[in-house]
Amino acid sequence: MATYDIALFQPPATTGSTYDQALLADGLPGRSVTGSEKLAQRFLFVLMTPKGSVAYRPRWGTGFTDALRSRNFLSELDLFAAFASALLEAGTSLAEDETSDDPDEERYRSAQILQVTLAESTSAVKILVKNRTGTSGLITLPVSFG
Amino acid sequence: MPLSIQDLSTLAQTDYDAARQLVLDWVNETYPGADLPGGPLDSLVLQPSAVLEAANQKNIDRVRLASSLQAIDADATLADAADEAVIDRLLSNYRITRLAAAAATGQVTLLFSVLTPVVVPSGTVFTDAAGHNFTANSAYTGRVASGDVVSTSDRLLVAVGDGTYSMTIDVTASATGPASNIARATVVTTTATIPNLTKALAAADFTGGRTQESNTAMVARMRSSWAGRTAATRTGIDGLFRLQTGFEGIIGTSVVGYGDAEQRRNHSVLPLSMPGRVDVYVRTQGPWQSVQKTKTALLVGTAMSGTRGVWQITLTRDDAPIYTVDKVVLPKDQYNAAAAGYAISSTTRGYDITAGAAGSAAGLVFLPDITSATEAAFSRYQTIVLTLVDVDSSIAGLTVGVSTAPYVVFYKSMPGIATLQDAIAARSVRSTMGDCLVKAPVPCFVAIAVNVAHNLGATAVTTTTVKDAVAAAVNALGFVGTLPFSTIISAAQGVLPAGSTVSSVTASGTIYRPDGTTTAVSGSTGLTPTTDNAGMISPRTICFYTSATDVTVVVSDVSSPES
Repeated sequence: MATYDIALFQPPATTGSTYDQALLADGLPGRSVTGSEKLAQRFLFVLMTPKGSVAYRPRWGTGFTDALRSRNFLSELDLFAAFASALLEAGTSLAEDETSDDPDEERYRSAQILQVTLAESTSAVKILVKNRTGTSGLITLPVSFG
Repeated sequence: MPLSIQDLSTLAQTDYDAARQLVLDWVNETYPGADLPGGPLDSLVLQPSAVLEAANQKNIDRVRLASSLQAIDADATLADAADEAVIDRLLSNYRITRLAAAAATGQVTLLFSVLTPVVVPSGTVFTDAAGHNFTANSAYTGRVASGDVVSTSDRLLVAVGDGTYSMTIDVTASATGPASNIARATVVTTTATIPNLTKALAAADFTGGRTQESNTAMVARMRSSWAGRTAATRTGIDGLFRLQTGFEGIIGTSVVGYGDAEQRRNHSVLPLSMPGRVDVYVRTQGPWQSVQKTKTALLVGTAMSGTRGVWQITLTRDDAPIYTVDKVVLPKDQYNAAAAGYAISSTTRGYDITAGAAGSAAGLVFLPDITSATEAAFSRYQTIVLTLVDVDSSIAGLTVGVSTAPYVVFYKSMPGIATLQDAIAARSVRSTMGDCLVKAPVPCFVAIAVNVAHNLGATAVTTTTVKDAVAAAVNALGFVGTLPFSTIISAAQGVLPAGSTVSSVTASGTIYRPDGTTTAVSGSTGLTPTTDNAGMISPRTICFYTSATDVTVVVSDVSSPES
């Protein structure tokens, strides 16, 4: 049975465009999410939450945003390395919140960076997230660094 | 002190986890389709709810435990952390009311250079060297003739004998707390204009100053209320004493009864030890009481070729108990701290168990079985006869065995013994199987030396603060049997500023035994008087006493190695 959560992000207007937050936005507040979109939301949420920043959940989150803030990225390779490290932490955090009763399409299996676009004023990371049914979803994440 | 509220950032992880699971379970049961962990609602709502739930449960547990006598008994720190109102409500069930903070009260002796009427305005403030203020309870008028003393605020100016005239007024400390319990003869000054005033000093030890009773002290006092407040049990005796007005905060009691080796009053015509005698040692306050009394001496002989007199002074049971007589002076020298006093040529200890007149206090009606001065030592039945030679005053015209003269006697005592003897002798509470004799503890007067290592450049050490802290710590001990130097070190270190440490402590004591002799006590880690049950010397009978003037603090500067 599918489960629901409140939408944190607005769906991208077009394929490949970036996510915007939906909690305090005009037009679509209170939208619910389910299925693979819910999983994608959870993945983004945990990826962008600094590890240890949630009280009494010291292992929840990843070091990805800390790495981004450190401004140590000279090339796409640096970003790939930071993301690979964050993947392990994201998997652990996502597993904390999953139970065997959750539908497989909402349970995390893996993720990978497909593309990194570095530009002077805008940058973006395309992430492929897979659930346990094998379905995958593409997330384009706006990233600012440098 | 308000109830300690759980800090949201210091919850135990297990408490948070349990609260979070509770919240998640409730959400899942209420909204089966919702799966919120890891989502925005988890972050914004569920997680804070779990934190608050865990904190609330912790606070509830605190209140519950603080309301439980069993829990407080098992963990005394709970009493300190609890809301005072919680403890007040709990102990009201046992007729225990918290002792409020109180200001010290006492009398100030004013010395004037001229015998003339004088007015001390109401509200006149007197201040001691430590900055404690005392306010006159009312306006007082000094009168030159006894016939002029008509109101309660009139005081008769009395010639001291050294050219000054004295009167005594009542004052109250401006602030509550024990710091204002100043000692007898403490000099006070005033900025008020009082004509011809030459000196003002405390007439006797000030008493009654205290802080508000803490939760821990209140719970400890409550324990003695569990038992019937009679002379039937040790706890009952302690509770009976603490029930008396002004004795709620006695330091400790120690009951020596049948079967205790220190009990020497088990008299019998047969060579057997018989029951029915109880000695109750009680330390009614921390420091000893310094007493100054004018007594009438009898001329009993002559000295120095008949030019000077041998005088006999009797300290009666109304002056008891008497620890030691410090000095005897002429009245003209009673306010002269430099006066050394006359050498006491003999001290005869005795006892007085004469029945009081009809209507006397219970302690003079129901008399304990006492057969020697040693048994009566430090009780309200103790008497002492002093003999001294007054090398200053001519006895020309005086008759041996008839002539009398006033002398002022200074001695150490423990207050309240007579009052407590009356309390325990009252028919409604006294034991039906024997008698109880209330005594002040056998005193061990201690001199202490504290050596302090002070790092150069660190905050200077205030030696008076150290002395006061050490004296207070020693005087707060009850019947402990041993004075460990760790107590002294802890008290001194607790008031030393950063950069100073206690490097060593030495101490020696003198026991003033019930038989009138003395015994020296010393040790390298503490003072442990040797038990002598026949002499009534044991941990059950002895208390340690000291004063700030008996504490020496030596500060040595040390250089810290450069880092």
